[in-house]
Amino acid sequence: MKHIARKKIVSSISLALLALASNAQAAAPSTEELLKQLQTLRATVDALQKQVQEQSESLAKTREAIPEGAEVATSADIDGLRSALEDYKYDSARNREYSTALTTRGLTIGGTLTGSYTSSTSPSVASSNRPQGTPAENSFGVGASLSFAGNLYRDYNDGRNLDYKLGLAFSAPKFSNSAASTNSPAQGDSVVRLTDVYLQYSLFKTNGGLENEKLTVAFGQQKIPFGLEAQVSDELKPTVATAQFLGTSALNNIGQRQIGLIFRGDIEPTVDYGFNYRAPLVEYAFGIVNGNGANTSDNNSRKDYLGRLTFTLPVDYNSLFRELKIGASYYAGSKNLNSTTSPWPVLADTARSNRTGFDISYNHNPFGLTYERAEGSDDALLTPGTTTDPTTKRISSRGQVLTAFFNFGDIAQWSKNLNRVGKFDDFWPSTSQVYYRYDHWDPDTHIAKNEILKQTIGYNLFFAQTTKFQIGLTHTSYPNQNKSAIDDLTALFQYGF
Amino acid sequence: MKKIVSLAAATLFSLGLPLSSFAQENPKIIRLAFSGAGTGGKPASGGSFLATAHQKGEIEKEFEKDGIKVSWTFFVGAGPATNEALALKKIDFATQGDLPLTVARSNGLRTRIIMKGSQFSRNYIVVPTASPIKTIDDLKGKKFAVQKGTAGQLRLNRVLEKFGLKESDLKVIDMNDDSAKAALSTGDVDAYITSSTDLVSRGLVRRIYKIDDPKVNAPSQIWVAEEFETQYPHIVQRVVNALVRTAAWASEEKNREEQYRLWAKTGTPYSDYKEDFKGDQMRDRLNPLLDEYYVSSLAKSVAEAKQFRFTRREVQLAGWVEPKYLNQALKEQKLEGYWDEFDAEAKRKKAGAAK
Repeated sequence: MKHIARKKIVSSISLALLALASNAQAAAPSTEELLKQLQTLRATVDALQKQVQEQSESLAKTREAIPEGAEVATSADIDGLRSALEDYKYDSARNREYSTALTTRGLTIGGTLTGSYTSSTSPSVASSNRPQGTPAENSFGVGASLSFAGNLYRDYNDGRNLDYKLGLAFSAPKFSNSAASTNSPAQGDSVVRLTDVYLQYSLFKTNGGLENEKLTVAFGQQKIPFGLEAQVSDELKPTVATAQFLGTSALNNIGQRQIGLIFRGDIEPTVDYGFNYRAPLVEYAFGIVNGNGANTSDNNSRKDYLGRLTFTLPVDYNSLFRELKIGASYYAGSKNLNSTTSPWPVLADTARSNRTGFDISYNHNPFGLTYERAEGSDDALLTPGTTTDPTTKRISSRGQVLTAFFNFGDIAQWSKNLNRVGKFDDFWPSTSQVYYRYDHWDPDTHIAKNEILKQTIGYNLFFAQTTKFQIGLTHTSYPNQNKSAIDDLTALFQYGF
Repeated sequence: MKKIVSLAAATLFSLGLPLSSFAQENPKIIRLAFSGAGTGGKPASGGSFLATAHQKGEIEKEFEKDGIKVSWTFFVGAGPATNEALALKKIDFATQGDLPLTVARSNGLRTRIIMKGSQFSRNYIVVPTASPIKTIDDLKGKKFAVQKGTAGQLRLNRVLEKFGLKESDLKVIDMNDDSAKAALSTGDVDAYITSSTDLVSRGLVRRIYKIDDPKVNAPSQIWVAEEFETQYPHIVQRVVNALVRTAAWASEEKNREEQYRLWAKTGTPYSDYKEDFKGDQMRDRLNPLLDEYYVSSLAKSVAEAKQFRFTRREVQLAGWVEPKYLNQALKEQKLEGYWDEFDAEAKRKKAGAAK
């Protein structure tokens, strides 16, 4: 800067001298004129010197503001930055157009893949999803599910959002009654069926904080709020397999998703902000559903009704009684009773299919304990082989599941607090879990010697954010029956994305 | 035989090797935690000598020769997340703000406060640039973002109380720092309490209130889990030694710029720290002393946490603050008197002692 200013002064003086010289040649100026010109020249020089001084001071101040060792960006640097920014904007716009999956609304895609190996002491019977006529004692298996979730309306003021979920799952093919039906997949084909299909609206505000009570209403095909086994995540259910009482030949109306309208809410949450802990004193759910299962329309004019109530002890996070919860569930169902003889007429269309449940859970990381008891009360035809006799009998059934587990290692798997840590790499805390499970099923309490007892000991290793390895040995016995016990060893990887 | 033992003991004692040192076990790992993470969850922290110790690997250097591993965790969930980790015995040392610290104590979690973390911070209540909000009174009924359970919530309550307001007069929304900044810049919340100046310099928000009262901005602290302290007091002493060394380095004015650059690794701009620490002496802000100001401030936080109903049970102050490790380190490093003490009113005890 100084150098440029000096050049200016020199140029100005040179020009002034040149002008004087040329004037001298044209006509000799008087002394007064020369003095005037000199004064003008001096004023010009002073002004230029002042300008240089000011610029030097300004430059010094700028230099002071620059941290020691810092590099000063030049206009060329800034131009380079601008150019890089423009390139980036162009690239991102182009990538968005050609290489990015776009959705109409906000979307989260998730899913679970399972790879398993099962070995059993009892040969499996041929079925629709196994090689026909070749019973196998061990098998590799796969499973998959995919989900799409997001919101259709986002309420920034109160968080009363309208959300949606669509879930798909791979399942073994089911043969229909008619071989010509398009629903009859060939051996080896798989069937993808809908699991969750619902809209959910938050009736209470959700963005105020943990102390706000919640109430949502969900319409569509969804899991139903009955007990623990039918709806809880692996935080309370260490096995991938579900309880026997939820099986297709058991209390299956609570064991599958139903289509209908369900409200879920809570009252008086105990909030311990010191730990981001929230435990509602009362959680409730009630609803009305078809009762005919997933992906099936209703087959009668009556609906099924369900309700659930749970109480959690109102204690702080660090209390020994944290997450001690007691729940009761009720499902009032109805069903048609069909004759087993062609043309399979409906002999009774007001048959009862009720469920009652009681459960208690104690989830106190690192250990936990759950117990659930579910009872079924079903009408059944006394003589299903006839096509005219609508006389019914009542069958009572009972299932009980007890699970105990202990976590060790980083034990951060289900903690939002411990999972959300700043990390550069994809490190994830690993959690190990050992568990024992007692699963008892009595399909008819009035009939002796028909119970099935499955006891499982197992180990889970959660070694990444969404991945777990599980190995479990299940001993199936038939108390008081002349039947051999069966041992199944299952090892599986379940990985979410 | 007795004579031989006595002779051996005397020899070892004279060599400066107390017998107890042979019985002392070392942990395999020392786990330190920050109640917060950098921008976007970066594993870094700034604004304290503990952050400097992390960046410079001072604790690692101290224990390298013993083969003791050092781990650092940065909880995005801030103080409440630190409390859960303490409850599950997953951390040994941590730095925390006053509210989660107090709540943890009231819930029966046992810690020993061994050093002050930092003090005299500045915070601001900011609103979107185009907002009509001009005063604290204008915040009535407005959406105010704060990370609940953190020191920020207690600070907000103190400010509101000054103006005769309560939390319930506002719509207080629970958000962490990253979410709150994003929501503020899009106008989804009306106000936020922050020490950061980056949104101001980007022209997205303007400040309506400056909080520079040391009684409103409580100091942070560093604690050790009581169980760890009982088992490994010699390790606690060495951690404190390393931190005091770092605090002394951090308090030197000549290291100010270098320190800003280290802290800027959090993603909070260099200019933020420069603005935040402007006009303050580093040795005042990074003062580790458990002085009158600290102790009275802690007692005040405990009382206010109860007053604002963040805690339900009494919090016992006795035995909580443990200055012996700090005093020993100051003595060993000849740093007694290096940092000024402040009285309960946050006034310098030695008038004109600013260095």
